[in-house]
Amino acid sequence: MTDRRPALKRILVVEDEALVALYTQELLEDAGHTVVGLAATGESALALAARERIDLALLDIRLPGGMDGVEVGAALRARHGIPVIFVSGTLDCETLERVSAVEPLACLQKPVRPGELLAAIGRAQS
Amino acid sequence: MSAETPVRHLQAVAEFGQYALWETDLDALLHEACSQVAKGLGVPYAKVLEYRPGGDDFLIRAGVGWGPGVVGSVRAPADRGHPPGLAMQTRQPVVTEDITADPRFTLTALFREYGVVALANVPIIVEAGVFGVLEVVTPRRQAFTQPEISFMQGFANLIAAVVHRKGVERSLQAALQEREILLRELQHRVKNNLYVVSSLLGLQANRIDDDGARQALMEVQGRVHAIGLAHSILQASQDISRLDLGAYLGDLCRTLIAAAPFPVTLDLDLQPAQVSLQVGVPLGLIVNEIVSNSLQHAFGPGGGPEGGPESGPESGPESGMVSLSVRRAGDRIELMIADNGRGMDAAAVAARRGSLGRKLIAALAVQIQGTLTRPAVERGVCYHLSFPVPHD
Repeated sequence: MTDRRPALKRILVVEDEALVALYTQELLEDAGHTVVGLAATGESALALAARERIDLALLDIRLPGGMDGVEVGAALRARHGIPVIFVSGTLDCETLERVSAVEPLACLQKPVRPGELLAAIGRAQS
Repeated sequence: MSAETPVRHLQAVAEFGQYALWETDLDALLHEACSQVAKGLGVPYAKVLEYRPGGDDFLIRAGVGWGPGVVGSVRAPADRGHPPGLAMQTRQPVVTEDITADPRFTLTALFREYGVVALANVPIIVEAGVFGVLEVVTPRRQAFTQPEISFMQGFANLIAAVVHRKGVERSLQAALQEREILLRELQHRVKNNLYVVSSLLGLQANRIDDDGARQALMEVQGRVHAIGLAHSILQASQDISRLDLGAYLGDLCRTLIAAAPFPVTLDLDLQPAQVSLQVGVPLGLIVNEIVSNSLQHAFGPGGGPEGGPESGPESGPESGMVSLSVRRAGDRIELMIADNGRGMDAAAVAARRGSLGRKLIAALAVQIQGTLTRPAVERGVCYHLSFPVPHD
């Protein structure tokens, strides 16, 4: 039988709702991944990415501060080559176009079920 | 002027009043006013000058008789040295038989170009001030009579009423847009808060050792998720008060299947059906219960469509499948939710009789005035729910 378990990742979670971020962290860690950090703003996400090795970023799109999640995702990809998964509410066409331009591994609609998130990370690796 | 003229003028004002009731394009209305006034007074030129506070001048907003490049482009001074300015500042009609000999006024380039001699101006007074001036001019001497000025003022007053109505419409439109933005923001907050609640339930469940208690919390988390998804779909709706049932239930099933620990095929047949949140959320909770149940019991190890003793469903024609259809049938909406799993024997039905999920399904079906049945199927479980199209 082949091992279907996904390779473990070092993941950055960018989410401004603290409890949602905390729960996401526990889900990922229970699945064996390492959560490199929780960032509530785009600026702190980029600061973390500059000093940590990150395999994957989970990004909320609506963020406080000067950058939204799409801009953060684009910067993470361009500066560090980090693949991203967006976790967001329903998007308007303009945001959807910007999201597509970042070429995310997946775009999940909030609210995300725990299994759905882990399955998306698993699919992204295969 | 003949004795019949005032009657003809009154008729023209009345007809224009009727026209002003339904014309929504202000420029078209102003043009019509100019045309009627010029015709009624037998002059070749008429125009509406709109006052622009920013530039402290007038813009020729509409007119008849003028050559290209005048209407919408040429401006006029708003000071007392020019008839429109004097009419606006005194809020009174201004008439001159011969402007070239009238010491009160300076001739503008436009008037020189058109050889203007006589003119009459009436102010268009609105609640907030003066919108502008209605003016007629002619290249010959003409003494405008009081009835003729009253005729012009009648048009100016009707224009003022329409300008006022337009302003009210703009304010209402702005208020509506603001309300829409606030509602969408509220939707976003509700959705986020439900996601926070869902996360809290997950965090708490992670700290419970007892499998049954943990499972119960996870089930509640799933229900909260179903409600949150309805708000998420609603946020993207064109109409903030209604969501597309097919899109919602389809997404709900997709998230349930995606979270399943084994592959299950989803067969969707969704016709468009718009419902309010009051109907959408109970339906989402019903579908959440039925599909979660299928994923939990119909396909688990030892089950599967063909009941293999060790394995869950595999891909291929015999793989696990969940079907959902949403169809409009006259004034009712019909939902069919089915799986091709191991089905429920009498013992399983009896065991689940007291379960919360079952109670929820029954109560929510009643809430939406639905009729829930379980048609006999060759394999698996099938639920049929029919409910009236809500007219709220």
